[in-house]
Amino acid sequence: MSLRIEQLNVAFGKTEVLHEISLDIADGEFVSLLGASGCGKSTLLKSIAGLLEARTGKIQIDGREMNGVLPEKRGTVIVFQDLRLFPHMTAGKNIAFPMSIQGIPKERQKETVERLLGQVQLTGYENRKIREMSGGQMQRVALARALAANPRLLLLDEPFSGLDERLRAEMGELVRKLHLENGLTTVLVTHDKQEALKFSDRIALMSGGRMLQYDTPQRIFKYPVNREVAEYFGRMNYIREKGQEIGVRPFDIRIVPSGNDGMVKDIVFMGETAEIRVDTPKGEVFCMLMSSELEAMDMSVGDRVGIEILRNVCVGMAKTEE
Amino acid sequence: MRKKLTPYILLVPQIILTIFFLIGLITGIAQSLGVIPAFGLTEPTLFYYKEILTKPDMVRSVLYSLRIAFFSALFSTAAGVLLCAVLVMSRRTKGRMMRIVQLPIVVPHVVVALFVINICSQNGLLARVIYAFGLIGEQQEFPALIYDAGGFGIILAYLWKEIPFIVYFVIALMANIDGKLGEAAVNLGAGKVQAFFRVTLPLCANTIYSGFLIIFVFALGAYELPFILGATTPKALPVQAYIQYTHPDLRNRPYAMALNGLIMAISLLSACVYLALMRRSQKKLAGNK
Amino acid sequence: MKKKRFAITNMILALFVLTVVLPIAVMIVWTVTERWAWPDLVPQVLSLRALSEIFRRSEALAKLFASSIMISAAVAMASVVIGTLTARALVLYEFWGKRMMYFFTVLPFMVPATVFAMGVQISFIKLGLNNTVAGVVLSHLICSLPYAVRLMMDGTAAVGDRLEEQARVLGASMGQAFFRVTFPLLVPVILSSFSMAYIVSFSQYFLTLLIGGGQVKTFTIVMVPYLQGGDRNIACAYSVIFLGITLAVFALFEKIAGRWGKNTDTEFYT
Repeated sequence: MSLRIEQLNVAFGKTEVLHEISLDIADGEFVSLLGASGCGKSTLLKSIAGLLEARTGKIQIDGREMNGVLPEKRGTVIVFQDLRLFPHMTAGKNIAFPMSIQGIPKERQKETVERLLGQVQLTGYENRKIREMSGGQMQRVALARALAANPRLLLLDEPFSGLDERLRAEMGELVRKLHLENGLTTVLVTHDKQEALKFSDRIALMSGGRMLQYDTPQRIFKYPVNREVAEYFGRMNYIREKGQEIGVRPFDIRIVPSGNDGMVKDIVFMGETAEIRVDTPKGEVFCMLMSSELEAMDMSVGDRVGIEILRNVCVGMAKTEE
Repeated sequence: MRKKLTPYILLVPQIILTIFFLIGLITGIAQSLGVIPAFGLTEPTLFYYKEILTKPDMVRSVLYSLRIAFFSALFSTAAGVLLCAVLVMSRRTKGRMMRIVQLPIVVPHVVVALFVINICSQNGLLARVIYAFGLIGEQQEFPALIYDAGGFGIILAYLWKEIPFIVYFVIALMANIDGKLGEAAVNLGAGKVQAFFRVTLPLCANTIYSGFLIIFVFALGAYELPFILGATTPKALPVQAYIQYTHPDLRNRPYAMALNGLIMAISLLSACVYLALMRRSQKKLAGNK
Repeated sequence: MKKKRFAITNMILALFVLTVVLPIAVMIVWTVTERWAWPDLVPQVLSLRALSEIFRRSEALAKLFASSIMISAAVAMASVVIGTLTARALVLYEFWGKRMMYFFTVLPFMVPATVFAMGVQISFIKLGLNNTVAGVVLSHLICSLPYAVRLMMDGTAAVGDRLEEQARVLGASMGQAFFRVTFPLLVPVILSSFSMAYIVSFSQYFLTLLIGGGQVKTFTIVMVPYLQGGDRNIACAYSVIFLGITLAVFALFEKIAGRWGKNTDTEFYT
């Protein structure tokens, strides 16, 4: 289902938390709302779902104006960060909740619960009490429950933030799989750039209640509209070259042992990768390379090296897709 | 817009009841100032307040009620805190012991009056036990604890009800503080009792004062116990007020209301102190987290 | 040293238990006492006179039952319903006048019922509520409600509106979200609010006397004349019966609340 947001403003009391947000999501798309905590991404999610009222602006789902439409009539389901499973119901009852609200017959509810539990790899957990489940299992129940509501738009509010790294990746894969299998339109709120880059068709980067850029992962990485966007996806070097300052990512600089552009100031071993700081007349340059490359070079602090810029990032020169 | 109206809609029944309550208070205050249009009294005056604060029997009522309320609150609070401390230190803050604590809260004051008559009258069980031990030779030697001018029976009845109330009011907080900070104090070398007096008790102080005030205000304004167990003279404030209220001469009505006004003034003053204490203790406890 | 302290604490506790339980035990003995003359420690003659007298006039008892328990139950029920609504407004919403409204809801805590009763009677007379059951219920409600509101506010704050928001986005209407999600979680608090409001109403004497005008009979109104008339057996018997019922109902409530607590995960939403 498609979603269209036009110049949305949302306020809590007198303080405005969302300014002029515009966003277009096509049917079947997977979009991430990326940003630091407090940037307004959860607020945007709640506004889409109708839990918060907009001060001005439009939200349209499938071309239909949503202003004044109650949350339960929108077909937008949120999986919250704190999961919000109903503690007085079993896992099965939690998943059946949206169906029992719709008045679907008990038999069909049961079938669907079993099918969904299968999809989230929790077969046989129907009668499990919520407090007897682990964090990862609760995430899965919350996802299954959201799917049971047959959402036109699935909204995920950092649902994996409480998990360890391995489980987090696993849940991400699961969400991506469910998104494709069920033909969903999904919005994922996250502060993790890797997660956003990995799963999304498009990324909307937010800061301070404003939308900074909305584009595909490749383009937002390569053509950030400003330094803030560029820096959100990794460290940047700004080097003056031919009268103009260019942005370069640490991996896009090659160290040439035979050259003489500067002096190695610091080498930090990070496992698979390594960081090297080079003092040059143009300022300090921060580069990254694979550890194996570093070993092959046999370099130490104080050595003179050359640097070669492989490609630069076109900050502020992006032609945003319309 | 819809969401903005929701809280007001939810509050409609509460607001209606509040209006009834305020009508009661405002009528009472207006009448205490001598404004009763139905009786042809329209000029506000402080005359009735002056009267009740100078007429000897009225002044005696005021002092009698204040004394009963003060001693009931003082002894209930002291005994309640002691009992609470014993319960906390012997780790009996849950289960059967708390059932016993809750029991008097359920019992109406009228029934407590019955208890006091059963136990503490000159024909009561206490007098008989003392007689059996040979401490008194005759029924009349047992001191009159009820219908007495000192209000002793009334205070006893309040104690029976309010000591458990104090325990109930304070114990959760005290157990919590003692569990966390008491342990730390013991760890730092304080004795268990020392830790209680130096750490736990001071942190519970505001709640304890609040409990005192609640009992004080209640005992000052309650009618049942002084009506059933009190002496013919002096009469407690609410009893005196009711007599004036039902006096055949309707011009006595403002006296009743002035007495009520006095009760209300003392109550509201206590309420302000209570609110200030609650705010202070919230800050204090928050600062300790 | 340690043993000695234990002895002291145990003695204090034993004394306390005795002071609470003894009057109740004596009251129970009095219900079946015919003659208990000075200076004996136990009654000389036992009989079921008081009990049979009460039960012989079973119609009067039934009536008293109906009016007394029904009035308090109605008051408690209304307190819980209104308390739930008020608590929701005060806890879950921000609105103009919130602090003032909170002050008014707790005001009846601070003003004695006697003061309120004598002030409001004239208005009740004008409205035709004086000497009626409705009037008594209304006046009791005003005094019981603050207790229910206090308890319900704590309960509502603990449950919050997070789960209701979730229910809404899963397709539940406002009413469905409340009744299927919040309400089951509030049951223990609702039961204790009900109990508290019931006790406050059940214990009222003065308010019932004034607003009920002797026409509306409740337990305390019937008790007091026996107390003053010296027919202690009857007074004790009435008290035992009514207290017994109240305690039995509360015990049942506690059991339900306990069972409920086991089925819901209270830690989950704190």
